[in-house]
Amino acid sequence: MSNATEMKFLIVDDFSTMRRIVRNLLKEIGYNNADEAEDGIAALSKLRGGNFDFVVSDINMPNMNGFELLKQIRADEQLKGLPVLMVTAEAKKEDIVTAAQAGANGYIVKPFTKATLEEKVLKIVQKFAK
Amino acid sequence: MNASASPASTLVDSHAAIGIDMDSTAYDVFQRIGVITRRLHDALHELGYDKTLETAVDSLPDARARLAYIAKLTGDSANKVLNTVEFARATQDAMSSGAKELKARWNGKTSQTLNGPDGEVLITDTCEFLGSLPLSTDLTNNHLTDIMLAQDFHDLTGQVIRKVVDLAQTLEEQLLALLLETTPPERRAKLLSTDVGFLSGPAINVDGRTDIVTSQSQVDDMLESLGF
Repeated sequence: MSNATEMKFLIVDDFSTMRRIVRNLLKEIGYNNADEAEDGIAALSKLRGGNFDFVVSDINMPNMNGFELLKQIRADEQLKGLPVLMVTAEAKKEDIVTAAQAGANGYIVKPFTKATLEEKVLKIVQKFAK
Repeated sequence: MNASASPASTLVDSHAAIGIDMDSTAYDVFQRIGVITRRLHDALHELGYDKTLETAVDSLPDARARLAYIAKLTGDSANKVLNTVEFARATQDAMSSGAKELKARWNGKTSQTLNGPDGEVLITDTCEFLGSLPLSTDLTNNHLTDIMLAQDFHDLTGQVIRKVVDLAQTLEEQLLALLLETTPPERRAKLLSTDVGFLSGPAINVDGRTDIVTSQSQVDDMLESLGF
């Protein structure tokens, strides 16, 4: 993983407003390097083409949802070690269990605060730095 | 009640029972409505639409709840933004008036006039003001973050709106299919080509359309060309 502040994030969400919100929040937290994808398919394409260090993904998206993206990442030899934080409106317990079983490293339910995002991101970054 | 008795005949019977005198025309109308109702009921049952319509109607309360959720979420977001703007404006006003006041006190000051008790107070006040600026700008930044986060309603309501639109589409398809099934073949084509006649409202699919305007400037240009 890159030096913490130079880490490259991929923000995956079908709503551009939410991608901008997450991108701006990451900037405020100290992470300036971020790219965006509108669904799982676009995300996989970008992940395979660039050196990303962290994925922040929505779940409910057209074409390929966040669960499927997570499974594909974990099944990919090149990408399987990437930290993935789910940021989603899906608040059902079964969804959280599904995400955990599929290998998510964190789960944030929308609406969320800057403090929540910062806490989860830092926790994952610290865990992966060990 | 006899299972085969039509609602109309039952109604007529009940009217007769309570002494309402119905003439033969009214009786005939009730009879016809009864027959139509029975046919419609049987047709719905045979076609299986009674179940599909029941399912669609059952999902309407869910749609109402979702729309109420959208109204609440957008209302909450709007209030959050307005409240935060008011707080942020107070901070900005305090910084602005503080700077103006100090500027007025510094006007005409020279190194000589600063060498006195008044000058010392002015320097102290200026240092305090400058020291408070980062706190004020941090506060404003926090307010800007809150305003940004309040925009998450777009994502949250968007997902709910999609579900309600899906439901409306299903309901529309089922009702249209029912209408077509129960309309005589010779009238179906006319029915399909009928314009519902409602006001169009906001333009949804604008690509390739020449019958709508897509911006206020187009509206203004059009009004101007019409002499307004």
